[in-house]
Amino acid sequence: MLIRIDSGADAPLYDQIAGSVREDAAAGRIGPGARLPSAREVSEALDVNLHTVLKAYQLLRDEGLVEMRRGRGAVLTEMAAAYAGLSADARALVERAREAGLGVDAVVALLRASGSDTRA
Amino acid sequence: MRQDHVVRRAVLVGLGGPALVSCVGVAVQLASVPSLGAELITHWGPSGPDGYGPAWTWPVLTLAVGLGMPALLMAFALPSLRRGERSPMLRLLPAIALGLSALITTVSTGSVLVQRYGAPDDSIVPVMIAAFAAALLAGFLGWVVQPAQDMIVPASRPVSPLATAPGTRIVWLGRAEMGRGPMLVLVLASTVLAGLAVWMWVLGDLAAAIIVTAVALLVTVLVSIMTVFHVRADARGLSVRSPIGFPRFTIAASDIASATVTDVSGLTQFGGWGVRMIPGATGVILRNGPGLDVARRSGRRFVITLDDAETVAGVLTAAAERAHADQD
Repeated sequence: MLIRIDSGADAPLYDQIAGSVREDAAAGRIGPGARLPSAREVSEALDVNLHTVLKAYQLLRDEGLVEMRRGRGAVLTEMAAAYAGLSADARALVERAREAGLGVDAVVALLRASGSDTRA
Repeated sequence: MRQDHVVRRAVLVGLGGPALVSCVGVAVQLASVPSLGAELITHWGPSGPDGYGPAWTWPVLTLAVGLGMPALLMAFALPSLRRGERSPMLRLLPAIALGLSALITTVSTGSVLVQRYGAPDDSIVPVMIAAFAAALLAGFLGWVVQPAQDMIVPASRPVSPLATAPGTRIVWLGRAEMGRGPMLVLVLASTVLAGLAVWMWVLGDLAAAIIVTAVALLVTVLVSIMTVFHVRADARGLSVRSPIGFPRFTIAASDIASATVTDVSGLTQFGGWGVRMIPGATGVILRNGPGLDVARRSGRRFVITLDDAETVAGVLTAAAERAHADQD
């Protein structure tokens, strides 16, 4: 699992850790059933507070990418495969947007808008 | 051209030799027994024969072990040889295959001949001595008829550094693990040993109980410290440690000359699996397949089998570049 954090960034650290796990799943570096390192290991390696890492894992569990298993710790769910499956589409979309002169933020806004359309 | 020569000799020694030896052995055995169903001694204990079986046991044993074991060894060695890898181990494996074949063929054929032509109370010891001599001789011959092999390992693949923006910390955390099959076998083995130890205590055989308990403990400890390793790669370098903290290996970023991805074959490159020390390299080899190959500045290599070796090599390459830039 590859984790990147930037203590100078606006996003809180737990958000950045959770984002790293999502990116790992999207890149196919870790797949369904893979065990995440223990929160203690992550906190020691990144030199951040244990609760920060626990909060990130909690966030991922709430969205369904991670489940807590007795004796095995945090394990990725099938959702990791969905992330990996969609990542090529996402890259293609960003590429097209860039050709049309739109940035990533614009793509995110578009996705949000179309998401709320389908929900309505 | 020269490459074909090495592979041909290895096949000749490791497969052709055992085929010839075991076929000759089986032919002699078949010519010496009155019928395949005749009852023969199949096992000798310390005080004489203690196992009997049909005569076909010996030729079947000769073919299964004398041809099966060499085939298994060559199944490990040949793919590496064909890929162009060379190492003393790859020269040794066909020689071992031939030696094994000679050993089991001499034991089987000798056992049959002693019963056919010897006195009823002839000892099996001379046959065993002859078998070990034959094995050593065959192994030696198998070694010398093969050309010497200078070490050629598969070319390791460089990866581009995983660049980090200033102020960003990047860490790769993961595990190096065995395959599920071998892992299951080891866990099963230690469970059986533990059960055996309990059984010995129940039986009240104190000496046996103590020995079996010690062995069970040793195997369990070895299994638990040698099958999983926690791996961390970051700007400081590489850290590999077993769950209990020993054995552990750390390589500082400033000591890393290069970090690349390689294709590991445990038996042919490291002479087996586990934590391996060979001239020029240390390996944490838990399976065959992709691995991380870190060259230290001294030239010594550290190899560990990892599913995502590519990413780890990227992190370490970036870390090494930065560490060297800081030093200059």
